[in-house]
Amino acid sequence: MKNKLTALAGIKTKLLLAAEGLLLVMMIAGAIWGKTGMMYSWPSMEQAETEALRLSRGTYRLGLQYEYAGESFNPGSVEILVEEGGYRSVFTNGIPIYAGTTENSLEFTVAAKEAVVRIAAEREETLRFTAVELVRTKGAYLKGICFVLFFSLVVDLLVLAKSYQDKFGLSDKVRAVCIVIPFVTALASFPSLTDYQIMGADMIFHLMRVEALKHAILSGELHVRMQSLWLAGHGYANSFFYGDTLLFFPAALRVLGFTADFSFRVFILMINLLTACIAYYSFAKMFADHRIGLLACVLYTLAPYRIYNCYNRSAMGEFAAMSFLPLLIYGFYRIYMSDAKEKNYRWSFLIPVIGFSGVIQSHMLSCEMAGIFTVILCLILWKKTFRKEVFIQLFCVVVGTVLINLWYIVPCLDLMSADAYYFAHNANVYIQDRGVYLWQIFYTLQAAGSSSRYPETGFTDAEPINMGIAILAGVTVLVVCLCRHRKREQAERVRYAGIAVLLLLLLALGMSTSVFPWNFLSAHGLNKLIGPIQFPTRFTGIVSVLGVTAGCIGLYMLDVYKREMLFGIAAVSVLFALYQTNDIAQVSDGLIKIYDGNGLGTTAILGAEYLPEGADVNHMTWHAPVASGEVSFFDYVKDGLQVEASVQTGREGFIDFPMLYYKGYSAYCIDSGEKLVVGPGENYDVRVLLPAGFQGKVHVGYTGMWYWRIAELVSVLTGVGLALLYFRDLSGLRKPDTRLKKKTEK
Amino acid sequence: MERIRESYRKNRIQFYMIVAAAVFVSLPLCTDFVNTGRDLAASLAKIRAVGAGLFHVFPLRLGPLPKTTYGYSLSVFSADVFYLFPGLLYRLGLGLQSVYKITLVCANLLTAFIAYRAFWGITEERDAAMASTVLYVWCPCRIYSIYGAGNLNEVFAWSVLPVAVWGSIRLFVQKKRDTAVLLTVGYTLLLLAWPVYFFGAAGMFVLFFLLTLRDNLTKQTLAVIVKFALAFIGVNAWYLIPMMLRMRDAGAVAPLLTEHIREYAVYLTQYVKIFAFGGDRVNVWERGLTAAEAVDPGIVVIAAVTFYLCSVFVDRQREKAIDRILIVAGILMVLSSNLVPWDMLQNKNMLFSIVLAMLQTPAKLAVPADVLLISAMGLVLSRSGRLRGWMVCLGGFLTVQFQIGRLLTIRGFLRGEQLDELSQVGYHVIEAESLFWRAAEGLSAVTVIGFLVYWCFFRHRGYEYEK
Repeated sequence: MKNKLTALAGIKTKLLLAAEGLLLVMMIAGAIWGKTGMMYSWPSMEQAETEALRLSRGTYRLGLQYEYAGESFNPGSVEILVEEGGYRSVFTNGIPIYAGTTENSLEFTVAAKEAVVRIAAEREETLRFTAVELVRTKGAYLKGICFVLFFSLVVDLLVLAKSYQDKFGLSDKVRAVCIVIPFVTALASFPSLTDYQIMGADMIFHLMRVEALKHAILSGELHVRMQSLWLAGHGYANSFFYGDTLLFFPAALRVLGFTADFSFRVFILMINLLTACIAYYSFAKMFADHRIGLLACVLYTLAPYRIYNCYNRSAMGEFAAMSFLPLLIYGFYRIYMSDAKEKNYRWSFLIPVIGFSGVIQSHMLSCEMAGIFTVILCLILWKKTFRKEVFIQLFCVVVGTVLINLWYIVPCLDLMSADAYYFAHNANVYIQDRGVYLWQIFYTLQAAGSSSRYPETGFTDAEPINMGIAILAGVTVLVVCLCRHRKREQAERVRYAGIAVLLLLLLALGMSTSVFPWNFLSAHGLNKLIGPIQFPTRFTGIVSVLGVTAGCIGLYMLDVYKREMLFGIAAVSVLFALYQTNDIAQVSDGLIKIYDGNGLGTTAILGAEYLPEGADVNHMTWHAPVASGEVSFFDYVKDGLQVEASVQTGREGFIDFPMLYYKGYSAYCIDSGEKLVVGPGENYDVRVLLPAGFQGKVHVGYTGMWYWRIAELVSVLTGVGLALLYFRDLSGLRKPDTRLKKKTEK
Repeated sequence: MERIRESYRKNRIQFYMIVAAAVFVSLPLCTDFVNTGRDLAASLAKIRAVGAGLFHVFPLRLGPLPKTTYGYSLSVFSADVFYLFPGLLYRLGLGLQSVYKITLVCANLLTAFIAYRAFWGITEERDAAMASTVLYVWCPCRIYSIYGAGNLNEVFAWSVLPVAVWGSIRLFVQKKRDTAVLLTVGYTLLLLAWPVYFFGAAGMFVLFFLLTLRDNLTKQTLAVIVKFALAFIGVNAWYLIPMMLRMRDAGAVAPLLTEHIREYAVYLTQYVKIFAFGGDRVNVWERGLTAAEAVDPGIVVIAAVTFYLCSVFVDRQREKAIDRILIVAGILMVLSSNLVPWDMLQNKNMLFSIVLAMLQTPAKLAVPADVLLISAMGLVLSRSGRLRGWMVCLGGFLTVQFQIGRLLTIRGFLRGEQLDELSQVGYHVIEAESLFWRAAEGLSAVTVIGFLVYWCFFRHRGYEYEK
C-alpha cells in the first residue's frame, strides 16, 4: 500500500498539497493574529438606532447589557439593519430581550467586503441599555480553516482516486459506488442545496435541540445532559428522552461558528449520505451483489416517506433513525439465513446491535416500532428462533444493545419512573383516524403535499405517506417471483426470507392505515403502548425498509430481464423522487433563515412531552429565586443549572430556584458540606428545604444519580470490549481452535 | 431548387420531427387567450408602436415613454428589428392577440429550422442534430421566455442564438477558420433580437477564446476574430454607436440596473430541476426556489451530460470538444448563480454599471449555458453507440408536457380587449435623429452592401456535412 501511495505522488500532487498547506497556514495565522476585538462600544443607547457603522468582512458579536423593571415578558428586541449590502452581504436575525435577564448577545456575519449597518432596538420605555459592545470575533477564520480542511480533503481524495485509477485501475464495483452514492445523496438533499431551509412542522424544535447542545458544549454542562438553554434558563430534560448523539455534528459546526441554518442543512446532507452508505452496505452484503446494493441504496434513500420526513415534517429524529433500519434487516437476515458454522457467524449480532443503537440514539418511537417487528419476526420464524445458535445470537443482540445503550436507557427509565410527564397524556389519545386510507398504498404520485389530516381535509393536497411506485414495483417483482417459483437450491433460503419479509410488510402496511383497529386495541389495555406512537403513518418507515428488502429479494430471485428491471426500477425511483423534491422546493412556501440561535427563543418544546406534569411553560420566565417567610438570601449567582447563594433562615423554610425540577438535582452547604433536601416547588421549580437557623452558602446543581455514572462506565466497557474482541478475532490473533483439529485427526 | 429538393430528401424525417416539436410547443397558443407574462405589456406595446411607425421612418426606433422610463424597452438599448414582422401584421389589420400568436408560432418554426442547421454544424450528424433541435425547442428556459415572461425580444433571440454558438464552437473547438461570416451573422442577429442575450453570448465567446488560448493563439484565428469584429461593428454601427453615446448618460443606464443584482441570480440546483412548475419568480432572496423561473436546459440534457461524465469516469471515453464546451457551460452556470458576488461590481463605477446594465441579471447567463449544454448533449449523442435520438426526444416529450401543462393551468390569462388595454403603454417612434446617428447608419449601410457583394461574387462554398 505504501508503495502504491508513493507511486501516486507526483509533482502536481505536491504542489496541490503545498497550496492547501499555505491556505491553511494563512487561515491559522488569521485566527491567531487577525483583526479581532472591540470595534464599537456605547455606554448606553438612548436612541432607536445607532449611527451607520461600516463593517468589513468577518464575524461579529453584539453584546448587550440592560435593565428592565416592567412587567412584560418580552419588552424589546434588537436587530442589525443592513443599510448598504443587499443579498448575502450580512447574515443576521434579530434577538428578543427577555425580562429577568440583564444581558444577551447577537452574533452575525458580514460576508460582503464591506457593509453599512445600524443597530436598531425596539423597546418599551423602561428598558434601558447600560452597555452595548460590538466585538469582532475569530469565527470567520475558524470557518475558513474548516472550509480549507474540508475542500482539501475532497480535492485530495479526488486526485488520489484519479491517480489510483490511472495507475492501477478501479474496479467496476468501486466506480459504480463512487458515482451512485454521491448522486443519490445530492438528489435527496436537493431542497437543502440552497441558502435557506424549508420550514417543516418540527423544524424549530430540532434547531433548538442543536442550539441547546451547542450551548451545553460551550458552557461545560455536556456531561450532565440537562441543558440549561431551554425554558428561560430552567433547563429541560430533552436529552434524557430524545437521543442527541447524531446532533453532535451540527452542534460542533455551531461551536465552530457556522450559522444555525447552514449547520442544519449540512446535517440533512450528512444523514442522507449515511443512509445511502448504510443501505448500500447492508443490501450489498446481504445478497453479495453490489448491483442490488446500489438499487437498494437508490430506493431507500429516495423513499418518499424519508423525504417527506425530512422536508414536510422536519422529523429529524425519525429521519435519522431510518438510516439505521437497513442494518437491522441485514443483521437479522444474517442471523437467520447464514450458516451457523461460518467463522464470522458468532459476530452476526453486532450488526443489529449497531442498528438498534443508532435507532435508539435517534428516535425512541422508531426503536419501539422496530422492536415490535423484531419480535414478530422471531415469532414467524419460531422454528429457527429456538435453535441454539440463533437464540444465542438473538440473546446477544438484546444484551449487547442494552449494555451499549445503558448510559442512555438507565437515566431515561429512571426519570420516567420518578415523575409523571405530559407525554403520558398521549396514552389517552386514539390514533386510528390518523392512519392513511387503504388505497393510498397504491397511490404513487409523490407530490409534496401539505396535509395528513385525512378526517378533516380528506385527500386534498395529501402528503406522500406511501412506499412509492418504485418500491411497489419491487414488491410486485417479489410477488411474481414467489408465484412463479421454480425450485432452485440456491434461492430456497432467499425464498423463505421473501415470504417472511412479505408477511411483515403486509402487517406494517396494514398498521399504517386507518383500517387497522388501533382504537380497539387502545380501548383494551394497550393504550400506553399505542398512544405514544401518535400517528399510525409512522409505520410507513418500516414499510419503506421492508418494501426495499422485498424488492431486492425479488430481483435477486429474478431469472430473466434482471439487469433491465434493476435499471428500470432505479430510474423510476429517481424520477419520482425528483418530482417530489422539485415540488417541495418550488411549491412549499415556508422558508426559514436562522443564523443566530438566540432568535429561536427557548420554549420550542413541541407538545411539552418531557415537561413534568404540573409545570406550566407559560410561567417559565427569567426570575429570581423565591424564598419562604423568614428565609433570606443574598450573593445569588446562577451559572447554567448551577446556583450559589448565601442563605440565612429563622425557622424552617425553603427557596424555589428558577430551574425545572427533575430527579438528579442536589444541594449542599458549601461551608459545612451538609446535604440539603431538594424537591419540586411552585410550578416545578427546584425547591431546597432549609432547616431552622441555617446560615451558610448553598450550592444547588444538576448532578444526576451515582448509578447513572456506573451505567455510563458499563456502556464504555462494553463498547471497547466488543471492539477489541472483534478486531482481535478479525486479525487472526486469536489462538487456532485446537478442538476442531483434534476431531479431524481422530 | 434541385439542391433544396435533395436536402429535403436527405433530411425528411428530421424535418418532420422538428416541425412536430415546434408545433407541440405552440399548442398553448391554440386557445382563445394569451397567458400573462412579466413583459407581455411591453411586447404588445412594441408591436403597436412598430406597426404605427412602419413606412414612416427608417431605421425604426422606439423612444422612451413620455413620463415613465421603462428601462430595457427603450429602443436605444433594444434594436427591435424583429418587431417589423408582427408590426407589419398589425398594420395589415390583424388583432393584437392574433399577431402575437402568429409571431410566436413563426418564431417557434424559425427556431427549429435555425437550430437544426446550427446543431448539424456542431454535431456533424443528422440524428444528433435533430435530437438537439427538439430539446432546444422544448428547452424549459425557452418555454419560460415564451409563456412565462412573454418577452418577444427573448423569443427572437432564442431563434438566432444557436448560430452564434455554432460560430463560436466552429472557430474555437472545431478549429475551422472560415467562420468570420457565420460569427458576424449570428452575433448581429442576436444583437438585433435582444442585446442582453448578445452580451451573454459575447461572454461565452471570450471564455472559449481564453480556454483555448494555447491552441488558438495563431495568426489565422486572430485574423478571423479581427475580421469578425470589424464586420460586426460595421454592420451594427447604426445601433451600437447611438447606444454607446446614450450610455455616457448615467441616467439612461440607471433604469436598466436592478437594485441588488445578486438577488436575481439563480441557485445552481435550478439546473438539475426536472419539473418546471410554471413559476416566474426571478428574485431568490425572499422566497428561494418557491415559484422560481425555469433556467435549466431540461432533464434529458442534464442526464445525457451526466451520462458522458460517468462514461469519462467509468470507461475513460472522453472527447476534448465536449470537455471544452462543458467547461465553458460550467463557468457560465457558476457565473449565473448567486455564489458569485456580483454585488461587488454594483455601484462602483460607470464601467461596471454598463456591464451590469448590459447583462441585466446574472440569470441571463443561463441561456448560453443551456445552449452549450444542449450542444454537448448533441455531441455525446453523435459519439455514443448507446444513446439514440428517439430516446432523447421521448424523454424530452415526457417532461416538456409537464411544464406546458402547468403553465396553462396555473397562470393567469387575457383575451382580446384586455390585451389591447394592456398594450396602452404608449411608445413613440423617434423621428428626429442627430448627425452622429445618420453617420452611423451610413457606415452600416456601406458595410452591409460590401458584405453582400463579397457574399455574391467571391464566396461560393457552403458548410457541407455528410454523415
